[in-house]
Amino acid sequence: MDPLLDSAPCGFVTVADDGTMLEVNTTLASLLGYTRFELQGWHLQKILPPGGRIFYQTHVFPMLRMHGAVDELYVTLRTRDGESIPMLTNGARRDEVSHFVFVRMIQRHEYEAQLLEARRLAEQASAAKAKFLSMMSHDLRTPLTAITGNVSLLAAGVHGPVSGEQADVLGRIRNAAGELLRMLEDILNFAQLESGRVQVRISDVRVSDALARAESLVRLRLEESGLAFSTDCDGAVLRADPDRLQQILLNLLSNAIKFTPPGGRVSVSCARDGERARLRVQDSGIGIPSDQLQRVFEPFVQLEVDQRGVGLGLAISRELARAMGGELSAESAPGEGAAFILELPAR
Amino acid sequence: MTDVPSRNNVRVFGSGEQTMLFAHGFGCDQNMWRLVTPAFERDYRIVLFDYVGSGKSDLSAYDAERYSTLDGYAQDVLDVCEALDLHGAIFVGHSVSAMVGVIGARREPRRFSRLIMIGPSPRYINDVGYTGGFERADIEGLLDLMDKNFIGWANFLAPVIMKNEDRPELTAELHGSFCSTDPNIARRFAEATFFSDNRQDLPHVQMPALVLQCSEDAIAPREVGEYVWRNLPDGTFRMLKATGHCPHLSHPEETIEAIKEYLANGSAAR
Repeated sequence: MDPLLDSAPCGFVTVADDGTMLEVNTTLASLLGYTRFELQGWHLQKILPPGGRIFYQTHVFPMLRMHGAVDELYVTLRTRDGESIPMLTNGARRDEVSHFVFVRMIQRHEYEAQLLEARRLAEQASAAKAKFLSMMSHDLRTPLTAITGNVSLLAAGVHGPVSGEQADVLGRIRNAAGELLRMLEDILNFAQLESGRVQVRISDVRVSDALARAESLVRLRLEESGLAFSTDCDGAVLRADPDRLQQILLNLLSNAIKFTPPGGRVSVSCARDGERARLRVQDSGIGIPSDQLQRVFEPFVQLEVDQRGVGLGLAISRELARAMGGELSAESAPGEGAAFILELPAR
Repeated sequence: MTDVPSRNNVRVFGSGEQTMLFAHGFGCDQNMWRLVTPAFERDYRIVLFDYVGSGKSDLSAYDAERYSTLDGYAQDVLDVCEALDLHGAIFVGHSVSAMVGVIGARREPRRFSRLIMIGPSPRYINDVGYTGGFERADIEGLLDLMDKNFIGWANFLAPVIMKNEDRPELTAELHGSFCSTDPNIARRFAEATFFSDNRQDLPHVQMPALVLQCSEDAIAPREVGEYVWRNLPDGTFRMLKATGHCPHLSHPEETIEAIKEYLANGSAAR
């Protein structure tokens, strides 16, 4: 063996396809407590712990045989005394012989173990949170549904005559319960999105149809606020999940109505940009400060002026847009209202 | 209705009345067979597939519950058989797939006429009166290596890379490493494989079966292969000169010859 290779500050070994070590440099042999002549001719298994032998046969050798190389693999080698030494290895196979270089990685190994543990804990916490949110929303929904149902029965006079004043109070109870239900839906939706359990079923969707449906649900609020509403999306067809698209549009329109003072306007326009369609919901409301434009999409974030809801609507809408291969972003200039741009694949 | 051929990335080629169904082992995909199948495609119809979670299978079909034991993998095999309407096929299974074949053959014997088991082990962990070759701690060692290599690199990098839409080749490269596409799936496959115990299934195999045993196999030692053979009602044991655990990769010619000889002579050559 070349003296430079033999004494290089890293381990070097060549291995035949049957696992026999052909050449071992002195650096590696002495690290493991052998002379290189002791190791040459032995099977590689001699310096691998049992788990490492399986890993070699099920991953390393097949990769070398099929792709010719393995890079940055973490392995452990076993010394003559049975001690395990963590190593980083690169390997390449040429002419039916695999060449491996080993570098010892004690500290880096510990650091990686810490990283993995931190990741595991974070995933556990995240899963616990998602489970809690999902359970909580389910559990709260049942009594809330009972409240709205019974209030409706009371208001309808099923249990006896209701005075005008009482009907008014019952109406307020029902509205508040409805608002709570909506928030719970948001939380449940968000928990599902976070855990990746939401499936989208993509089909062709005419934007004008989707808008007409969304508009019918907010028409009353538009009229109550005296807002002018216009759309300019005739002919635009998206590749999207119709229900999810509806959910996003409803959220964007509700926000626009909420943050636009009476007498203002809300408009929706469409533009095509190559393979993508851009749907823009513009309002003439109070706008969003430029430093908040990104934050509005973060879960549980609310702008100071918005004290209602749990701050999940935009987070959910963005995740839904992404699940459909699209994106949702915001633009705003002081005094000119806000615009939300939904970008989705066009047909 | 599940589209099994696309879910399991099924490939069918070759000419012949008789079908050979090749099932890859843990850590790999159907590419493992590429040195062996050319020798059979003139006389047999060859069926290759990837288990859900491996190779180019449909990852969205992965169900952690279903694939927590080898039964789920056996169901994949039976699903492929049903989709292609296979009856009396020759099943060739490497490593864990040998036992997956045993489970499948026990459930639906009519699907298979013979089992060819390369490096089989019905239980990897030692038990009272049984030597599997490993202790539980050894398997934990393997899982630790996998965690560090897959989850360590792939998982930390993957989320970042996935969002890097203008460089899809990075994601592709990551997926190309190790044949297994998802680190968590690979870990669960390892657990399903190495913590399994299918010794009770062996006596129920109704068709002839061949055990191809490698020399110096660190994963399925000779005594394990012999255990499988002794407990099969109609088993044949063949020792290969090939060393290691993947003779179809390291010594394809000898592997091909052993399979051909068995198929030619049937179970008479014991």
